[in-house]
Amino acid sequence: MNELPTLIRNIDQNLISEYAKVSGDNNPIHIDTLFAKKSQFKGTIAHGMIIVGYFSDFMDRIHGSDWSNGGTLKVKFRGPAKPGDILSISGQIKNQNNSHASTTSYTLVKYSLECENQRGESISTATAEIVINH
Amino acid sequence: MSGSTKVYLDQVDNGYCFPVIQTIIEKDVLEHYASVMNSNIRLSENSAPIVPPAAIASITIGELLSRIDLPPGSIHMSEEIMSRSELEVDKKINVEVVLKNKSVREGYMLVSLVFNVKSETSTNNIIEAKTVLMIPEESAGE
Repeated sequence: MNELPTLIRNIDQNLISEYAKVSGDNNPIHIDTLFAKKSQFKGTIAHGMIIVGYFSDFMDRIHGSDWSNGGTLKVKFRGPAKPGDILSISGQIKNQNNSHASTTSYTLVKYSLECENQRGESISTATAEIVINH
Repeated sequence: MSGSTKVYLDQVDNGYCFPVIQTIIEKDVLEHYASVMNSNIRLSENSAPIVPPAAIASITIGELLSRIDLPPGSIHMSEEIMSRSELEVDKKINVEVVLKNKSVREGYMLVSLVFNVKSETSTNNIIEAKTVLMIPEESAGE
């Protein structure tokens, strides 16, 4: 399988709070430290959509506008990303298939993606697919 | 739909269609998003900034959440995004949301919501998304 350049992103409370403002997702588990301390996570956690955004950026760096015009991303959240975490977003090509018809020719590329924190704990896994027309 | 009208998920059935959300992702919102996410903004063929698919999903989910009575401590379990075409900033979009499925298990309600985001000027989808949330029956903070 082909390894691709890893994306590194730091999580801090300011990022989470600013993300809450821009997305409109003000769930207190993300922004209210007193509330979050009483939760199962014992503190605030990053929005899952931040991780989705990092996976999407990872694919956008490789495929540019093709990603916005025909990409599919499926993400499962495994554990929380918390302030102080350093996330590594990595990926591999699982397989790619060329298809040739009389009028069209395209390549379907499938990726396996992973987001881990600095302790090697899985935060999220994902699969991505993209159709590249020729 | 009025922002003050909340939908209670325990009072609607599978297949429920939320009132269509109309919104515009403006350039300053995109710039704020890109700054927070440390991501680049790409330009379209006619040099307009493009809203990344994850940004469209984030902002439309946020719009929906503001219209749902969602208890604190609700958790995002999974997300699927299928991007069909690019969206330029400052274009009006319509967001159709359907409650695909809900079930109750061990004190949590699992909810699947399906989103179709369309341009106001086209019937084709810009993105399709599926969001699964786990909602506590009692607030974690109580």
